[in-house]
Amino acid sequence: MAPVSTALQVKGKVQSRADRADDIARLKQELELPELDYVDISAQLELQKALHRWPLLAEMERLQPKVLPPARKSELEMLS
Amino acid sequence: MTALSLRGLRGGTGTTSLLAATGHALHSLGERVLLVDMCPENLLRLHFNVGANERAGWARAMVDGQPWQDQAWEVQPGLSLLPYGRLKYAEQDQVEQRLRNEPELWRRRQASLAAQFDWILFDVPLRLPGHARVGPCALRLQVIEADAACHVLLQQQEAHEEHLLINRYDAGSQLQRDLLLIWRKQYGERLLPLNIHLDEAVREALAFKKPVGAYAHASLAAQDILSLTTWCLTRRREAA
Repeated sequence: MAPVSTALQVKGKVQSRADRADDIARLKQELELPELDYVDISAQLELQKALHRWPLLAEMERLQPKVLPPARKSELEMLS
Repeated sequence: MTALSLRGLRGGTGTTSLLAATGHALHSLGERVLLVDMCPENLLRLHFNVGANERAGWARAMVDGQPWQDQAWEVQPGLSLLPYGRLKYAEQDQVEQRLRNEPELWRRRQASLAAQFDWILFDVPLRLPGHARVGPCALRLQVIEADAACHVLLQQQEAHEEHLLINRYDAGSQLQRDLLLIWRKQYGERLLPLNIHLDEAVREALAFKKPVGAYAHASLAAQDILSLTTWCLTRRREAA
């Protein structure tokens, strides 16, 4: 079998993509505070905007809230 | 041998073209690959220059009482293809019934091929549970497009075992960017960390009877497929 060139380095169990990409997740790890209740407001606003732009997506989120936390859900209902 | 299955969440997501391209890319990296068409549409063979009038395949052989092993084409050394074959609707029903009655059939077939191949790739159809019952697959991918239909279908899904791979992604589309954001949040690691971008070269490749990597090696979709292949190889190493 030919060697495969890859930029990915696999060392034991790989950190999840979100963990690698997310500075806050890293900070929680460094501070050993995995339960730290940090809310990324700008990310949530982006999600909220994405849901509001499209009536069907907003309706699905109202019926089965999956993406926004409960506090944001009420705002979503007000806006739609 | 590692088994991988690709299945569309709905019809027309480009699953067969992706499977052909993935098989070709794995082979180009030195892997021994067998591609198996489980779909009665029987289109996979056309990506590998098999004659359009060729009727042979494993399901045709099943109906005719012939050995299934004799139906494979060696596209290149280390790259083989097992077509479904040309069947009438009634015959497809007959095969579906046989596969439902013998749910272990493909598990046995898969085991018998283990020494000859590093990868076996299954193109799995929608709504034919008998045909979908292939052997155990270490990698199971569901092919989706970033549109509202897939969003609703994903929410309605009962099982959540398959990875999700976005095909025909167009970063110029506001809706697609929004869905990507929402899905990353909602499905997390289930969504692959790469997308296959919308690329006319994929359509052209089938018209040229080639997988996209052979037709247009430098195309965006072919490069995305190489990333997908790297992901597959990494997952295999992790599983080992």
